[in-house]
Amino acid sequence: MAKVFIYPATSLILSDLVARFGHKPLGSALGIRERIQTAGVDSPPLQITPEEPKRGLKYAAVEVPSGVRGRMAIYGPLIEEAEAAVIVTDADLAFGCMGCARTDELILFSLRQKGIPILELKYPTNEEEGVQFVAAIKNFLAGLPKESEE
Amino acid sequence: MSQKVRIAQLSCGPEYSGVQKEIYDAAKAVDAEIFFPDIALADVERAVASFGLDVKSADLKLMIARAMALVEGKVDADGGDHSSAPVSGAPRRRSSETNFAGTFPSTPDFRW
Amino acid sequence: MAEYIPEYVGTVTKYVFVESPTLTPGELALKAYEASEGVLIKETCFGLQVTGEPEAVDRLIEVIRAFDPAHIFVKDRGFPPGDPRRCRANLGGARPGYLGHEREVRILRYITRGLEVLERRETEAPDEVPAAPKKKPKLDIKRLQELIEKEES
Repeated sequence: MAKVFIYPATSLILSDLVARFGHKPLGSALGIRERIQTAGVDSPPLQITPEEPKRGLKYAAVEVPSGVRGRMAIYGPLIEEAEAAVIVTDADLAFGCMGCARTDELILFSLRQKGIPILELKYPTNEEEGVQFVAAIKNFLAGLPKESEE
Repeated sequence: MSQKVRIAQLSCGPEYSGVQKEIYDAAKAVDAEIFFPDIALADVERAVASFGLDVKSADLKLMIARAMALVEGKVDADGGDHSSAPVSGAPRRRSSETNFAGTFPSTPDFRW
Repeated sequence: MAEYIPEYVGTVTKYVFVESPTLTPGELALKAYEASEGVLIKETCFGLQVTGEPEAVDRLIEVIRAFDPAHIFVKDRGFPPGDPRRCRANLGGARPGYLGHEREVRILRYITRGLEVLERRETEAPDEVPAAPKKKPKLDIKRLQELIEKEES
Protein backbone atom coordinates (compact mmCIF):
# COMPACT_ATOMS: atom_id res chain seq x y z
CA MET A 1 0.00 0.00 0.00
CA ALA A 2 1.58 3.25 -1.13
CA LYS A 3 0.95 6.75 0.19
CA VAL A 4 -0.42 8.70 -2.73
CA PHE A 5 -0.75 12.47 -2.61
CA ILE A 6 -3.94 13.54 -4.33
CA TYR A 7 -4.29 16.86 -6.07
CA PRO A 8 -6.63 18.56 -5.45
CA ALA A 9 -6.08 17.39 -1.88
CA THR A 10 -9.76 17.97 -1.19
CA SER A 11 -10.92 15.75 -4.06
CA LEU A 12 -13.70 13.28 -3.23
CA ILE A 13 -13.11 11.38 -6.47
CA LEU A 14 -9.36 10.93 -6.09
CA SER A 15 -9.61 10.15 -2.39
CA ASP A 16 -12.15 7.42 -3.11
CA LEU A 17 -10.40 5.89 -6.10
CA VAL A 18 -7.00 5.73 -4.41
CA ALA A 19 -8.50 4.10 -1.31
CA ARG A 20 -10.74 1.82 -3.37
CA PHE A 21 -7.75 0.48 -5.29
CA GLY A 22 -5.87 -0.33 -2.11
CA HIS A 23 -3.63 2.63 -1.35
CA LYS A 24 -3.63 5.48 1.15
CA PRO A 25 -4.75 8.86 -0.16
CA LEU A 26 -2.87 11.78 1.37
CA GLY A 27 -5.47 14.54 1.38
CA SER A 28 -5.90 17.77 3.25
CA ALA A 29 -8.27 16.12 5.72
CA LEU A 30 -5.37 14.19 7.22
CA GLY A 31 -3.48 17.39 7.94
CA ILE A 32 -6.52 19.14 9.35
CA ARG A 33 -7.40 16.12 11.48
CA GLU A 34 -3.94 16.13 12.95
CA ARG A 35 -4.25 19.85 13.76
CA ILE A 36 -7.62 19.63 15.48
CA GLN A 37 -6.70 16.55 17.48
CA THR A 38 -3.57 18.23 18.85
CA ALA A 39 -3.77 20.23 22.08
CA GLY A 40 -2.44 23.76 22.03
CA VAL A 41 -3.60 27.34 21.74
CA ASP A 42 -7.21 27.87 20.72
CA SER A 43 -7.26 29.03 17.10
CA PRO A 44 -10.52 28.27 15.34
CA PRO A 45 -11.56 26.99 12.96
CA LEU A 46 -8.68 24.83 11.79
CA GLN A 47 -6.35 25.13 14.75
CA ILE A 48 -3.85 26.89 12.52
CA THR A 49 -2.16 29.32 14.86
CA PRO A 50 0.17 32.19 13.93
CA GLU A 51 2.96 29.65 14.45
CA GLU A 52 1.99 27.68 11.36
CA PRO A 53 3.08 30.38 8.87
CA LYS A 54 6.43 30.33 10.65
CA ARG A 55 6.67 26.57 10.26
CA GLY A 56 5.77 27.11 6.62
CA LEU A 57 9.07 28.96 6.18
CA LYS A 58 10.55 25.54 5.65
CA TYR A 59 8.70 25.37 2.35
CA ALA A 60 8.31 29.01 1.30
CA ALA A 61 10.31 32.18 1.88
CA VAL A 62 9.26 34.93 4.26
CA GLU A 63 7.99 37.24 1.51
CA VAL A 64 5.43 34.61 0.52
CA PRO A 65 2.01 35.50 2.03
CA SER A 66 1.28 34.05 5.45
CA GLY A 67 -1.78 32.19 4.17
CA VAL A 68 0.42 30.27 1.73
CA ARG A 69 2.93 29.40 4.43
CA GLY A 70 0.15 28.40 6.82
CA ARG A 71 -1.26 26.07 4.18
CA MET A 72 2.20 24.67 3.46
CA ALA A 73 2.55 23.83 7.13
CA ILE A 74 -0.39 21.47 6.53
CA TYR A 75 0.72 20.14 3.17
CA GLY A 76 4.47 20.07 3.64
CA PRO A 77 4.53 17.01 5.89
CA LEU A 78 2.09 15.21 3.57
CA ILE A 79 4.26 15.95 0.55
CA GLU A 80 7.30 14.70 2.43
CA GLU A 81 5.74 11.31 3.05
CA ALA A 82 4.17 10.96 -0.41
CA GLU A 83 5.43 7.99 -2.42
CA ALA A 84 3.39 8.80 -5.51
CA ALA A 85 0.90 11.41 -6.67
CA VAL A 86 -2.23 11.69 -8.79
CA ILE A 87 -2.77 15.18 -10.15
CA VAL A 88 -5.84 16.57 -11.89
CA THR A 89 -4.50 19.44 -13.95
CA ASP A 90 -7.77 21.26 -14.59
CA ALA A 91 -9.04 21.52 -11.01
CA ASP A 92 -9.98 25.17 -11.15
CA LEU A 93 -12.83 24.99 -8.64
CA ALA A 94 -11.20 23.47 -5.59
CA PHE A 95 -12.05 25.59 -2.57
CA GLY A 96 -11.08 25.84 1.07
CA CYS A 97 -7.84 24.05 1.77
CA MET A 98 -7.09 24.05 -1.98
CA GLY A 99 -8.50 27.52 -2.56
CA CYS A 100 -5.20 29.35 -2.88
CA ALA A 101 -3.69 29.21 -6.35
CA ARG A 102 -0.23 30.22 -5.12
CA THR A 103 -0.18 27.37 -2.60
CA ASP A 104 -1.45 24.98 -5.25
CA GLU A 105 1.41 25.96 -7.57
CA LEU A 106 3.92 25.40 -4.79
CA ILE A 107 2.41 21.99 -3.99
CA LEU A 108 2.67 20.92 -7.63
CA PHE A 109 6.22 22.16 -7.89
CA SER A 110 7.22 20.35 -4.69
CA LEU A 111 5.66 17.11 -5.89
CA ARG A 112 7.34 17.27 -9.26
CA GLN A 113 10.69 17.98 -7.63
CA LYS A 114 10.44 14.86 -5.50
CA GLY A 115 10.94 12.49 -8.41
CA ILE A 116 8.10 10.21 -7.31
CA PRO A 117 5.77 8.51 -9.80
CA ILE A 118 3.12 11.01 -10.85
CA LEU A 119 -0.03 10.58 -12.91
CA GLU A 120 -1.43 13.76 -14.43
CA LEU A 121 -4.84 13.82 -16.01
CA LYS A 122 -7.98 15.90 -16.46
CA TYR A 123 -11.46 15.51 -15.09
CA PRO A 124 -13.71 13.49 -17.41
CA THR A 125 -16.42 15.34 -19.29
CA ASN A 126 -18.33 12.33 -20.62
CA GLU A 127 -18.74 8.63 -19.97
CA GLU A 128 -15.98 7.53 -22.30
CA GLU A 129 -13.51 9.83 -20.59
CA GLY A 130 -14.84 8.59 -17.27
CA VAL A 131 -13.85 5.05 -18.20
CA GLN A 132 -10.40 6.22 -19.28
CA PHE A 133 -10.02 8.31 -16.12
CA VAL A 134 -10.78 5.43 -13.77
CA ALA A 135 -8.72 2.99 -15.83
CA ALA A 136 -5.70 5.29 -15.90
CA ILE A 137 -5.76 5.71 -12.13
CA LYS A 138 -6.27 2.00 -11.59
CA ASN A 139 -3.37 1.11 -13.87
CA PHE A 140 -1.11 3.72 -12.30
CA LEU A 141 -1.85 2.52 -8.76
CA ALA A 142 -1.38 -1.10 -9.79
CA GLY A 143 2.15 -0.25 -10.80
CA LEU A 144 3.07 1.19 -7.40
CA PRO A 145 4.91 -0.82 -4.76
CA LYS A 146 2.52 -2.91 -2.70
CA GLU A 147 4.49 -2.68 0.54
CA SER A 148 4.85 0.78 2.08
CA GLU A 149 8.11 1.71 3.69
CA GLU A 150 8.00 1.49 7.49
CA MET B 1 -34.65 41.79 23.30
CA SER B 2 -31.65 42.99 21.32
CA GLN B 3 -30.37 40.89 18.47
CA LYS B 4 -26.75 40.37 17.75
CA VAL B 5 -25.57 42.25 14.72
CA ARG B 6 -24.48 39.77 12.11
CA ILE B 7 -21.40 40.68 10.18
CA ALA B 8 -20.71 38.99 6.86
CA GLN B 9 -17.07 38.01 6.52
CA LEU B 10 -15.57 38.50 3.08
CA SER B 11 -12.04 37.19 3.14
CA CYS B 12 -9.61 34.81 1.56
CA GLY B 13 -7.44 32.72 3.79
CA PRO B 14 -7.47 34.16 7.33
CA GLU B 15 -8.04 30.65 8.67
CA TYR B 16 -4.67 29.63 7.24
CA SER B 17 -2.79 32.70 8.45
CA GLY B 18 -3.83 32.07 12.03
CA VAL B 19 -5.78 35.34 12.35
CA GLN B 20 -9.37 34.10 12.15
CA LYS B 21 -9.66 34.04 15.93
CA GLU B 22 -8.80 37.75 16.03
CA ILE B 23 -11.74 38.41 13.74
CA TYR B 24 -14.06 36.34 15.92
CA ASP B 25 -12.79 38.10 19.06
CA ALA B 26 -13.27 41.54 17.52
CA ALA B 27 -16.87 40.72 16.63
CA LYS B 28 -17.50 39.29 20.09
CA ALA B 29 -16.10 42.45 21.69
CA VAL B 30 -18.93 44.49 20.14
CA ASP B 31 -21.54 41.78 20.75
CA ALA B 32 -21.73 40.89 17.10
CA GLU B 33 -21.31 37.60 15.32
CA ILE B 34 -19.57 36.63 12.12
CA PHE B 35 -21.24 34.63 9.39
CA PHE B 36 -20.33 33.51 5.88
CA PRO B 37 -22.89 34.23 3.13
CA ASP B 38 -24.38 30.97 1.90
CA ILE B 39 -24.09 30.56 -1.86
CA ALA B 40 -23.94 27.69 -4.31
CA LEU B 41 -21.32 26.80 -6.89
CA ALA B 42 -23.49 28.17 -9.70
CA ASP B 43 -23.52 31.53 -7.91
CA VAL B 44 -19.73 31.53 -7.87
CA GLU B 45 -19.54 30.81 -11.59
CA ARG B 46 -22.09 33.50 -12.38
CA ALA B 47 -20.42 36.08 -10.17
CA VAL B 48 -16.99 35.49 -11.63
CA ALA B 49 -18.35 35.84 -15.15
CA SER B 50 -20.20 39.06 -14.41
CA PHE B 51 -17.66 40.73 -12.12
CA GLY B 52 -14.99 40.71 -14.78
CA LEU B 53 -11.86 40.19 -12.68
CA ASP B 54 -10.06 36.98 -13.63
CA VAL B 55 -8.65 35.57 -10.44
CA LYS B 56 -6.92 32.23 -10.25
CA SER B 57 -7.64 31.27 -6.66
CA ALA B 58 -10.97 29.58 -6.05
CA ASP B 59 -11.30 31.18 -2.62
CA LEU B 60 -10.95 34.62 -4.21
CA LYS B 61 -13.75 33.71 -6.62
CA LEU B 62 -15.80 32.66 -3.63
CA MET B 63 -15.10 35.96 -1.91
CA ILE B 64 -16.22 37.90 -4.99
CA ALA B 65 -19.38 35.82 -5.24
CA ARG B 66 -20.21 36.32 -1.57
CA ALA B 67 -19.70 40.08 -1.93
CA MET B 68 -21.98 40.20 -4.94
CA ALA B 69 -24.63 38.15 -3.15
CA LEU B 70 -24.63 40.71 -0.36
CA VAL B 71 -24.72 43.72 -2.65
CA GLU B 72 -27.52 42.22 -4.73
CA GLY B 73 -29.48 41.45 -1.58
CA LYS B 74 -29.61 37.70 -2.21
CA VAL B 75 -28.24 36.97 1.24
CA ASP B 76 -30.45 37.90 4.17
CA ALA B 77 -28.45 38.00 7.33
CA ASP B 78 -31.24 37.37 9.79
CA GLY B 79 -33.23 34.80 7.86
CA GLY B 80 -36.38 36.91 7.38
CA ASP B 81 -37.14 37.85 10.97
CA HIS B 82 -39.20 41.04 10.66
CA SER B 83 -40.57 41.03 14.18
CA SER B 84 -38.63 43.95 15.68
CA ALA B 85 -39.87 47.50 15.06
CA PRO B 86 -37.47 50.01 13.51
CA VAL B 87 -35.68 52.28 15.97
CA SER B 88 -36.07 56.00 15.36
CA GLY B 89 -37.92 55.31 12.15
CA ALA B 90 -34.78 53.96 10.52
CA PRO B 91 -35.78 52.12 7.36
CA ARG B 92 -34.68 48.57 6.64
CA ARG B 93 -31.36 48.93 4.91
CA ARG B 94 -30.31 46.99 1.89
CA SER B 95 -26.80 45.71 1.82
CA SER B 96 -25.86 48.03 -1.04
CA GLU B 97 -26.02 50.90 1.45
CA THR B 98 -23.76 49.16 3.87
CA ASN B 99 -20.26 50.12 4.74
CA PHE B 100 -18.36 46.84 4.52
CA ALA B 101 -15.39 48.37 6.27
CA GLY B 102 -16.91 47.46 9.60
CA THR B 103 -18.93 50.47 10.82
CA PHE B 104 -22.59 49.78 11.35
CA PRO B 105 -25.42 51.32 13.37
CA SER B 106 -26.39 49.87 16.69
CA THR B 107 -30.09 49.62 15.80
CA PRO B 108 -31.27 46.07 16.34
CA ASP B 109 -33.35 46.30 13.18
CA PHE B 110 -30.33 46.75 10.99
CA ARG B 111 -30.32 44.19 8.20
CA TRP B 112 -27.52 43.28 5.83
CA MET C 1 -4.62 32.97 24.81
CA ALA C 2 -7.18 30.26 25.52
CA GLU C 3 -6.09 26.68 25.74
CA TYR C 4 -7.43 24.21 23.23
CA ILE C 5 -8.42 20.77 24.43
CA PRO C 6 -9.18 18.49 21.51
CA GLU C 7 -12.06 16.05 21.38
CA TYR C 8 -12.45 12.77 19.50
CA VAL C 9 -8.71 12.24 19.73
CA GLY C 10 -7.61 9.14 17.91
CA THR C 11 -10.75 8.85 15.84
CA VAL C 12 -11.21 9.22 12.12
CA THR C 13 -14.20 10.71 10.32
CA LYS C 14 -15.14 9.87 6.77
CA TYR C 15 -17.71 11.16 4.34
CA VAL C 16 -19.79 8.62 2.46
CA PHE C 17 -21.37 10.13 -0.62
CA VAL C 18 -24.10 8.15 -2.36
CA GLU C 19 -25.18 9.10 -5.86
CA SER C 20 -27.45 6.23 -6.74
CA PRO C 21 -30.83 5.81 -8.43
CA THR C 22 -31.61 2.87 -6.15
CA LEU C 23 -30.20 3.87 -2.77
CA THR C 24 -31.06 7.03 -0.87
CA PRO C 25 -28.99 8.45 1.99
CA GLY C 26 -31.74 7.42 4.41
CA GLU C 27 -31.72 3.82 3.20
CA LEU C 28 -27.94 3.79 3.31
CA ALA C 29 -28.01 5.05 6.89
CA LEU C 30 -30.39 2.28 7.96
CA LYS C 31 -28.17 -0.38 6.41
CA ALA C 32 -25.08 1.19 7.96
CA TYR C 33 -26.63 1.26 11.44
CA GLU C 34 -27.02 -2.51 11.27
CA ALA C 35 -23.29 -2.92 10.77
CA SER C 36 -22.06 0.05 12.79
CA GLU C 37 -20.29 -1.72 15.72
CA GLY C 38 -20.33 1.43 17.79
CA VAL C 39 -19.22 3.76 14.98
CA LEU C 40 -21.03 7.11 15.12
CA ILE C 41 -23.16 7.58 12.01
CA LYS C 42 -24.68 10.86 10.94
CA GLU C 43 -27.05 10.95 8.01
CA THR C 44 -26.66 13.91 5.68
CA CYS C 45 -28.36 15.07 2.51
CA PHE C 46 -25.60 13.51 0.41
CA GLY C 47 -25.01 10.32 2.38
CA LEU C 48 -23.33 9.78 5.72
CA GLN C 49 -20.56 10.87 8.00
CA VAL C 50 -19.02 8.11 10.09
CA THR C 51 -16.73 8.61 13.08
CA GLY C 52 -14.93 6.12 15.23
CA GLU C 53 -11.75 4.15 15.79
CA PRO C 54 -9.81 3.77 12.53
CA GLU C 55 -10.15 -0.01 12.28
CA ALA C 56 -13.88 0.02 13.07
CA VAL C 57 -14.48 2.77 10.50
CA ASP C 58 -12.50 0.89 7.85
CA ARG C 59 -14.53 -2.26 8.47
CA LEU C 60 -17.77 -0.32 8.25
CA ILE C 61 -16.69 1.43 5.05
CA GLU C 62 -15.92 -1.95 3.51
CA VAL C 63 -19.43 -3.14 4.34
CA ILE C 64 -21.01 0.09 3.10
CA ARG C 65 -19.14 0.03 -0.20
CA ALA C 66 -20.51 -3.42 -0.92
CA PHE C 67 -24.08 -2.07 -0.90
CA ASP C 68 -23.52 -0.24 -4.20
CA PRO C 69 -19.81 -0.09 -5.11
CA ALA C 70 -20.10 2.07 -8.20
CA HIS C 71 -22.35 4.68 -6.62
CA ILE C 72 -20.73 5.12 -3.20
CA PHE C 73 -17.71 7.38 -2.75
CA VAL C 74 -15.70 7.79 0.44
CA LYS C 75 -13.44 10.59 1.57
CA ASP C 76 -11.63 11.56 4.76
CA ARG C 77 -12.87 14.45 6.85
CA GLY C 78 -10.77 16.35 9.34
CA PHE C 79 -13.63 17.29 11.67
CA PRO C 80 -16.11 15.10 13.51
CA PRO C 81 -19.76 15.57 12.52
CA GLY C 82 -21.60 18.59 13.88
CA ASP C 83 -18.42 20.33 14.96
CA PRO C 84 -19.46 23.97 15.57
CA ARG C 85 -16.32 25.28 13.88
CA ARG C 86 -17.50 23.77 10.60
CA CYS C 87 -21.24 23.19 10.94
CA ARG C 88 -23.23 25.35 8.55
CA ALA C 89 -25.75 26.08 11.30
CA ASN C 90 -23.02 28.01 13.10
CA LEU C 91 -21.21 29.50 10.14
CA GLY C 92 -24.31 30.77 8.36
CA GLY C 93 -23.45 28.85 5.25
CA ALA C 94 -21.62 25.84 3.90
CA ARG C 95 -17.87 25.90 4.38
CA PRO C 96 -15.92 26.40 1.13
CA GLY C 97 -14.96 22.74 0.74
CA TYR C 98 -18.55 21.82 -0.01
CA LEU C 99 -18.46 23.90 -3.17
CA GLY C 100 -15.60 21.67 -4.30
CA HIS C 101 -17.78 18.66 -3.54
CA GLU C 102 -20.52 20.25 -5.61
CA ARG C 103 -18.08 20.55 -8.50
CA GLU C 104 -17.11 16.89 -8.35
CA VAL C 105 -20.60 15.54 -7.74
CA ARG C 106 -21.49 16.93 -11.18
CA ILE C 107 -19.17 14.36 -12.79
CA LEU C 108 -19.64 11.43 -10.42
CA ARG C 109 -21.83 9.68 -12.99
CA TYR C 110 -18.82 9.46 -15.33
CA ILE C 111 -16.74 7.90 -12.57
CA THR C 112 -19.59 5.49 -11.85
CA ARG C 113 -19.66 4.54 -15.50
CA GLY C 114 -15.92 3.96 -15.42
CA LEU C 115 -16.16 1.73 -12.38
CA GLU C 116 -19.03 -0.27 -13.86
CA VAL C 117 -17.29 -0.77 -17.20
CA LEU C 118 -14.02 -1.83 -15.61
CA GLU C 119 -15.74 -4.27 -13.35
CA ARG C 120 -17.69 -5.72 -16.27
CA ARG C 121 -14.74 -6.06 -18.49
CA GLU C 122 -12.38 -7.47 -15.87
CA THR C 123 -9.71 -7.02 -18.44
CA GLU C 124 -6.80 -4.68 -18.95
CA ALA C 125 -8.00 -1.10 -18.88
CA PRO C 126 -7.43 1.11 -21.91
CA ASP C 127 -3.99 2.64 -21.99
CA GLU C 128 -5.26 6.04 -22.95
CA VAL C 129 -5.20 8.79 -20.42
CA PRO C 130 -7.47 11.83 -20.82
CA ALA C 131 -4.46 14.06 -20.50
CA ALA C 132 -3.97 17.62 -21.67
CA PRO C 133 -5.07 18.28 -25.24
CA LYS C 134 -2.48 17.22 -27.76
CA LYS C 135 -0.41 20.12 -28.91
CA LYS C 136 -0.94 20.96 -32.53
CA PRO C 137 2.22 20.31 -34.52
CA LYS C 138 4.01 23.53 -35.29
CA LEU C 139 4.02 24.68 -38.86
CA ASP C 140 7.21 23.77 -40.59
CA ILE C 141 9.11 26.88 -41.74
CA LYS C 142 9.50 25.58 -45.28
CA ARG C 143 5.81 24.91 -45.52
CA LEU C 144 5.15 28.47 -44.33
CA GLN C 145 7.46 29.76 -47.02
CA GLU C 146 5.61 27.76 -49.66
CA LEU C 147 2.29 29.17 -48.47
CA ILE C 148 3.60 32.73 -48.60
CA GLU C 149 5.01 32.23 -52.08
CA LYS C 150 1.76 30.70 -53.24
CA GLU C 151 -0.21 33.66 -51.93
CA GLU C 152 2.11 36.16 -53.50
CA SER C 153 2.00 34.50 -56.91
